[in-house]
Amino acid sequence: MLHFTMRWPDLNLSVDCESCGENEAALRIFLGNMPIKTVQGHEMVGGWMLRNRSVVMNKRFFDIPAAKLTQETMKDAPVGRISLLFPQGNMTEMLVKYDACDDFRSYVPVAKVADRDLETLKKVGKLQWQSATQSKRAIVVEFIAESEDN
Amino acid sequence: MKTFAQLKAEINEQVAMTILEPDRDVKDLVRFAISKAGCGYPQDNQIFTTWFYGTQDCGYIADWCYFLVELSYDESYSMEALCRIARFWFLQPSHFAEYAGLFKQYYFIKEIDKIMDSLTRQEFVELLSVFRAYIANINVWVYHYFPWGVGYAFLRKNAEYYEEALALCE
Repeated sequence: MLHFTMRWPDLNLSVDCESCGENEAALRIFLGNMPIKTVQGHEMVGGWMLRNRSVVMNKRFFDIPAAKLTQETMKDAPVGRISLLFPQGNMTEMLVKYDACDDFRSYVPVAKVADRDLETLKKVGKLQWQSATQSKRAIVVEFIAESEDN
Repeated sequence: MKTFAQLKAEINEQVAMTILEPDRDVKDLVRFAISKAGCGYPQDNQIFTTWFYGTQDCGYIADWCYFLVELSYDESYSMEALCRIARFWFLQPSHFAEYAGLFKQYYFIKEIDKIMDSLTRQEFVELLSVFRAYIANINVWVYHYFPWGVGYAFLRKNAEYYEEALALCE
C-alpha cells in the first residue's frame, strides 16, 4: 500500500493518507517528488474542499496522458478523497474533500485520508477557510512519503 | 535571444522562489495594493476592480499550458500547429495580466514566444511545463491575498434568507 502524510506545521496537525486504488502510477510519480511544500489553499466554490493550486513536482516529470487516468467527480467521491486536477509536467493541482460538496466536474482520484484522521482533516479545512476569508494567514502544507519503496 | 536551457533555468529559479513567498509583482499589486499602470489605474482610488479583472487570468494561462502539453503528446499536431495554438491561447491573457501589473509572467511569455519556433517537441513540453509551474505559483498568491471575505456582503437570496427577513418584520 502506498502511503504519505499531509502535515501543516503552522497548525500542528497532520493526516495519514493512502492509495485509493485508482491511478497508482500517478500516485507513484507524486510520491517520487516528495517531500513537497506548498501553500495550503481552499476551494472557493462547489463545496468544502482543500485545494492546492500549485503542487510543484521537480524531481520526477509527470508524463501520463490524461486519457490514461481514471476520473471521478468530487460530488460522488467520499469525504477524505484526494484527487489531482490537470497533473502534467512540473505541477498538478490537488483537492481534498473534507465535507459536503456539489462539484460535478471530473478529477483524478489518487488517495484517501485515513478514516481515523477525517476529523483532523475537517479541522484543517475550517481553519483554512478562516484564512481564506478572514485572517489571510499563509498556512504551509508538507507532503511526506512514508516508505522507501514508493 | 535566450537558449531553451537558459530560459528554462531562469523560469525554474523563479518557480523555486515563489513556492513559499510571493514575488515582487504579487506583493506590489495584491498584497500592498500598489497600482502601476494600465488596468491598474485607480478609478476612484480603489484597486479591487483591477484585482477582479486583471489577476484572474493567471489560472487560465496555467490551464492553457496544461492543454498545450496534453496536445503535444498527440503526434497529429505538428510543432507548427502547436506553436500557432500556443500563441493564440496564451499571449492575450498574459498581456492582460501584465496590464494589471503582473509583469514577470509576460516577460517570460515573450521570451518563450521568441524561441518557440525553434523548439523540439520535448523542449516545448518542458518549457511550457516549467512556465505553468511559475504562473500557477503566482495564482496561489493571487488567491491567497484576494479578499474573499467580501463575499459575506453578498449573501445568497434563497427562501431561507427571505423567511428570516420576514421573521424580523413580525
